[in-house]
Formats: sequence, C-alpha cells, structure tokens
Amino acid sequence: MPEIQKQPKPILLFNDECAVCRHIGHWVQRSAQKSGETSITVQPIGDDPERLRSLNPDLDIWDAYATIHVLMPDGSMKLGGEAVAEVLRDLPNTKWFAWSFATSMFGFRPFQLILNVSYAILADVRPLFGCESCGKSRVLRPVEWVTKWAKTLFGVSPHPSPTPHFSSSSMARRRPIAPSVVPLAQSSHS
Amino acid sequence: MVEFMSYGCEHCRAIEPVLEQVAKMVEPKEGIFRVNIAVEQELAGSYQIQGTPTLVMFLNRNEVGRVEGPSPTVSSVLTAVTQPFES
Repeated sequence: MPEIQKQPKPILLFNDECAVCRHIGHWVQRSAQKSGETSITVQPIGDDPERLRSLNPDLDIWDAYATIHVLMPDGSMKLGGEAVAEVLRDLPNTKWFAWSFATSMFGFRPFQLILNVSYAILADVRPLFGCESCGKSRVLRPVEWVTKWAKTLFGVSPHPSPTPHFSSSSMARRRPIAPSVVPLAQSSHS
Repeated sequence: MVEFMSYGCEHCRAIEPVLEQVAKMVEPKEGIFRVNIAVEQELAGSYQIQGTPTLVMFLNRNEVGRVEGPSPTVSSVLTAVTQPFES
C-alpha cells in the first residue's frame, strides 16, 4: 500500500498523451502562476498506477485517462465538468465568473450543466485535435476528414494520426507467423 | 506474450481483468507482459503495432503469433494466447 501524499493545493491531473489536454494543462499551469502564488498544481497522469494511488488511494489510472480529475486537499476528487469548474475557481483570471457554476435555480445548476455537456463534447472530439492515447472514433471520421480538408485550405499541417484502438471482437484479426527474428523487449513491464 | 496497450484505450481496459485471469491460467508455461505504447513508442513502431490492444506471442525470441483487438472474454483471449504455441 503506497504512502498517501498530503497536498496543500488542488491537483489537476492531465493526460500528457493527448495534445489538446497538454495544451489545456500548460495553460492552467501558466495561469495559476500569474498571481505569483500558485493556486493549483498541474501534473501529468503518467504511467505509474502506484504513484497515482499515493496521491489518492481511490484513484484509478484508467479512470484518470478517461476523464479529467482534480484531487482536492481534503482527499475528495472532482471529475469531468465539476473538475473544470474547480480549476476555473482556482485560477486568478477566471475565478470572477466561476461563481456562476455554483448558482442553483429550482434545484439544479444550469451553468454547471452547460459546462458538463461542453466537457463531454470536448472529451469526445479530442482525437480531432491530436490525442496520442485516445484512439480514433469511427463516428468522428467524417468530421475528421472535413477538419483535415479545412486545415489544408489554410496551410495547417494535420496532426499525425493516433494509433487506433480496436474496439470490438469483429475487428479481431490474426496475422501469419512473422518470418523475421525479433528480440523480446527488455523494457516491457508486467 | 506481450500486450501492447495504452491507458487511454477503453478496449484495453475491458481486456485487463481477462488478461489477468488468463495469466494465472497459463503460468508458469507462459508469461504475460504489458507494454504501454505511449511510453514505448519506438518499441511499438519496431513491432509495427497498428492499434491497441495487440497481443504478440513470442517463443524463443521469435514472434509466433499476433492478435489485434481480441474479444474481452476468457475463452477468446486464452485461445489467442495458447494457439500459436500448439501449432
């Protein structure tokens, strides 16, 4: 059982294998440092499940890659749109409007709801903006072609295609035995 | 057997508990290892990994079989992992 690290400030975990997440993570880091005293810590998720559990024992590395997480100093976690609202509350240049996310009307928070939906859409379209670990959604492919075409019109070179993720048994394929002799990787880990 | 995977891949997540189960069934005859393609990009490239999860079976350092995106069931993964060594 890893030793739990006490954190005085909220920690934003970002997917460092995803270009759009990396840009957002770095923007948050720069914004948080503007006031002189950093209000939120920004950390890449990395690839060590044990190190993540040392931050919070309930933190699962697969969950961390699937959705944005903010680890609170009291040991709680905020996810998705709630995590985005927490980040905006902690940044000096956005906290002036972040109060709106807590505003409740007739028992629900409309601005938070909009933020949740916006986050869900952004999370879905991440592969369009470059996400090395997200794979490629079949649904997004027509949109991706249009985006690539539009980018070439403006002379913007498209991101290299991320490695696709096989998603169903129907896609399972077998390959013939490779004739070449290849050394077994020493850097793999169980 | 080496699994080329990524933590951002939902299918890799689905197959994870199945692989752990299969690993227990096939040990000590076979060992199952994991390679994160986001970290080991060069290695994934050298084995021409087209997507995740990809299971690559080795015998005496030679690749003897490969399965891409197997169904996350014990029977299909077990077959994928053991069949190349039976032929």
